[in-house]
Amino acid sequence: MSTSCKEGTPRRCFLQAVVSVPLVSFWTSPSAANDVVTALRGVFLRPASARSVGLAVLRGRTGPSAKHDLVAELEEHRPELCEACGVVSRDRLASMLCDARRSDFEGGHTVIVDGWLLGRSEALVCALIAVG
Amino acid sequence: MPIDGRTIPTDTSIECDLCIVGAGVAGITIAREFADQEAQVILLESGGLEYDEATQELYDGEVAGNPIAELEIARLRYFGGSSNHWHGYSRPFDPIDFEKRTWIPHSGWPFGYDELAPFYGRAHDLLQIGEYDYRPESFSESLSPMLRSPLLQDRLQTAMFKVNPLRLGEQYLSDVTDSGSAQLYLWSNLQDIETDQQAREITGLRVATLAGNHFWIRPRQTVLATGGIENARLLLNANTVRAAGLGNEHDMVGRCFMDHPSYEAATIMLDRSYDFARPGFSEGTDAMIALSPEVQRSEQIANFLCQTWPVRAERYHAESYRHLREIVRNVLQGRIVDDFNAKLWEVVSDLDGVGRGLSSYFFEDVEMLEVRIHPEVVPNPDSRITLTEERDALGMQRVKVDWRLTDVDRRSIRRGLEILGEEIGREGIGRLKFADWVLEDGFEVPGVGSYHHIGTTRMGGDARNSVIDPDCRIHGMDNLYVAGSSVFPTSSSANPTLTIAALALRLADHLKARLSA
Repeated sequence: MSTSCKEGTPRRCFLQAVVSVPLVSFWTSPSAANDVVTALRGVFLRPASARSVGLAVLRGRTGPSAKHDLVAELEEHRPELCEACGVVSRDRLASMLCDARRSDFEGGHTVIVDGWLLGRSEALVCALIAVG
Repeated sequence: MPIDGRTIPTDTSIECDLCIVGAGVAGITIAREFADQEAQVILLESGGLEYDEATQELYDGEVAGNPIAELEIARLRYFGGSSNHWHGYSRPFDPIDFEKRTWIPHSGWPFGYDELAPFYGRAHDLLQIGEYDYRPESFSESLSPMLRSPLLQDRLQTAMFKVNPLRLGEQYLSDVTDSGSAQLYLWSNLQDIETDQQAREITGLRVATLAGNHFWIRPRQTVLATGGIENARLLLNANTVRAAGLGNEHDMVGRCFMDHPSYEAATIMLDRSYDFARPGFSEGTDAMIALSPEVQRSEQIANFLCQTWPVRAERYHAESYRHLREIVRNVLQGRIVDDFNAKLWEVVSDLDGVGRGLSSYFFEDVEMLEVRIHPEVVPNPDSRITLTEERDALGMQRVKVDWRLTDVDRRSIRRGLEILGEEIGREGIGRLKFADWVLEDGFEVPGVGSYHHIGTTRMGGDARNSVIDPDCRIHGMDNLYVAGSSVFPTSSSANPTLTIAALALRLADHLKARLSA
């Protein structure tokens, strides 16, 4: 969630900042995390496959792996994906996942899962579906 | 007619202008260049015109370190040398291979690619591999769609090879034997090198045969052209005047041994079955995947090369593979190269029935690719050839080859594969899986190497870290030269034969000028 302020509207900026705080909390709240998982799962024609890959991702992780931790990590890495969950269509979300995949490999944001070189976004998404 | 060394009476002394020891690629190349010269040339060959087990056994020795082929298997000790079993792959070194690279200790040749370029051109005639043109666009019709795709136009590049397994012994025997100024001696083994007391000048070569006789050759100039292991072995064994052997004042003979690892290092799962990655049909060429020089510099890694081959998907029916493939196909696919499907059918429709049958392997849809690496390895002084206490039938000490990879090698292999995987993923056509051994700390590359023995009498301007000077002459000696892959300071990722031939032609020009002066 980002905010922007123009000079001369300090009250509006303050209100925006105040409003944004519960929204930030909303994204990492259990119900918001479930919404993210639900939206992402809906992108996959075969969620069982995503779950299987996700379990492999979780086996190899050293960081926290609870649902809200994974959502927070995805939000930090690809905030646009989390913002789009439950807002855009399934096809649009799938297209955004493609963009995230491409960007991940271009930028070297990769992880190795059971020897496979995956993009960080797709690994996180699959992990979320596995814990979802 | 060749002379059988076994028939020469013991202690016979034979004078000549130039003695070339070893009739492999380098030796035959140099000898042919003297066909129209007045100089008297002797080409000395340990074996005969065909394989002989007793002679071959002279190559036996020990191996240690990273897995490498047994020494008596990797090389052939008869006229033509190891060209009698090579696969015929030729490619020039890249310009970056000649450069001093700050991230690769002991890198850098005493001259650049431009010095060798004209000799590469001449070597093409020798090896009968057509024009000196390795631009992928000159071979686009024979490249697979994958190698013509955007996948290989940025960090990855297509590396072309010319392929002709020319048997130089068969091809050029008459060139050598019918020439008026070159005499071929068979069954004749260099046993020792006699020098003056300062070890500056060769005064004689003691030649021994398995029949028990020996004789002497008194050349004005000598070239050792016996291969990457044997050149070092001969110098180390020549320890009458200098205990450490000839050319070894700074303990460099035998060091920096390199071979090219060659083994399956990854698989690529394609997001769907299609013809994108079918091998290209071409006669006399092949293509591999390389890293651009810009990437080598920015990543500070060595020159990386790999080749992909379709494999049967049933080898990879592990559950995890199927699940990953499902999600990649259904959701996370990128650009689709359907235009290549149309081009494929144009080709198939031109084939007759036999052609269709033979081509079914290449034209059926490809799901998985094997990735076999063929990278440069960096010079490592601790990777070396030493003498053992065991002696062969001629009384010469055998060798131990201890091939050591460095962390730069391992990082280069892993990062090269990673970049390949990043590009595959970016283009959305699949995912790469590392072989288990690549992910181990301090890995050794399985397999047996590539039979490319490189670097043991390396070239350089400074005698403290090299054995020969830029003219291929032993530092501090007047009339002893070395030819072959042992002189390479670095290994490149390219097969060595073309560069062996180019350097041999360059040395031949130097020797012709010197002998005629």
